[in-house]
Amino acid sequence: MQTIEDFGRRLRAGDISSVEATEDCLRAIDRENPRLNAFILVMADEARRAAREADAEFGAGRDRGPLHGVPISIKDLFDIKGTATTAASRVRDGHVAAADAHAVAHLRHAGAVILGKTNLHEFAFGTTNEDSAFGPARNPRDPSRSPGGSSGGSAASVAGGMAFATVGTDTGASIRVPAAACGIVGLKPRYGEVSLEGVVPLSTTLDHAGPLANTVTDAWHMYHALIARPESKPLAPLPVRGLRLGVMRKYFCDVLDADVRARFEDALDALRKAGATIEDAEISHAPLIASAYLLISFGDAAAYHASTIDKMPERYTAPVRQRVETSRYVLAEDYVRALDARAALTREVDAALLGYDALLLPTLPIPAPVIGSTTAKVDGAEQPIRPLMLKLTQLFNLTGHPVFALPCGNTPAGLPTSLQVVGMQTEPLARVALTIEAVLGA
Amino acid sequence: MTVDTWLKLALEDAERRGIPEIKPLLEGVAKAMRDLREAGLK
Repeated sequence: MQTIEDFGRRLRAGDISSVEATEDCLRAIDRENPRLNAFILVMADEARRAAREADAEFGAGRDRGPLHGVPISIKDLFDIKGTATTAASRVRDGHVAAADAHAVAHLRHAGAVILGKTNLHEFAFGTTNEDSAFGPARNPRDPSRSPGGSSGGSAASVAGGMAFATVGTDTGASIRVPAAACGIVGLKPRYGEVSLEGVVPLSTTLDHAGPLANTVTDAWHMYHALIARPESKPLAPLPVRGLRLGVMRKYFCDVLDADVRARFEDALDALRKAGATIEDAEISHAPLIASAYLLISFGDAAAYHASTIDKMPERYTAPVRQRVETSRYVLAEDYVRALDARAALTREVDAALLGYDALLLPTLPIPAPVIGSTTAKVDGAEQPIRPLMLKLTQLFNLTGHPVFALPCGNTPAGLPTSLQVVGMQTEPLARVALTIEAVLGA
Repeated sequence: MTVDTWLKLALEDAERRGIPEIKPLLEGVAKAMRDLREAGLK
């Protein structure tokens, strides 16, 4: 596993250069991308040029901070000047970005080297990455399985050793579920913290941008660059003893794969043994989450896609076209009812957090599904994949709370599981996440 | 408009527009509408 933190130490000790790290990543892309389909566009020449510039700058005494010279990937939903932002859709054929998205510009300013643009579920409108004009991205742990979505190519680029970190978007699951499926860390920051200027929207009221990386510290460095504060201070863990954690069991733990449940309970046991106080926490309107999410996300998506679905419906993949067509039937009065539910849920999560440093719940109720499957068997019953993959994450897009997804052990088949750590503000939450990561990794 | 009326009209419209494959999705939207209307949050 290659981390930004370790690269930074070696760079500053003179043991490695950005050019060497970038060449390592480009070799990994040559080797892994044919089987994982993580990258839509590899920008090898531009990456080499940026790495040479980073090394020259460092040699001249300018250190831009933790991301200086670090090779990363970018979800192909973000504009990079002079390249197509495909959104993994033929609808976008012929597009060329006139400028960098703000998030991309911030990463460049922090010294990051951009390797290329990663595959996704078309227009980020799905959780598996199967519906892409460029074919499905695949999970590095098992290429017959989904890497999650919609930022599936992004997660695969990091888990497959092709990039040190990446940037994704998350409208209902799309940073956290791919992080969970691929066994890495994902951070959905608080709503509005990371600019979405220059990013193709799915739902402007639910969309978030944030990092996926190998560790909490690496995600922290990426987050700081994304909010245009690249000189992040080292993240310090909290004492585990005295940490107060609320576990969201009711509704969220009702339907869980047995191995996912076992790893989640193992994680809670480890935290309890290390001294954390763990109690159950509850959200009374949880049964309304999926309905509110569906109506808001569909209503917002209808507004964005209205003209293209009329002009070129045949250019969408069939499943995404069906979702867009359906979204146009949502009534304004029901959209407003969904906003009322959203407000109630936000108040309830705020209230639940009052007694705790963070709330905990699993990220993905099942291990990464096999590509092409439409249902998964949980406790003997077949469950439809799409709502199941969204079920545990979409609440925090409605409420805007920051969430880390952290690896919490593997199933006996070697597939990753993950837990979510939810807080009020990203910075104190990052310290809690670092503390939990240390306990679970010990 | 009741949810049942909305669903009937939406299903007919989808059929007329040659996209009958969205009918299961429309039924999912109808369920969401019912859930939120019955909750009566405001």
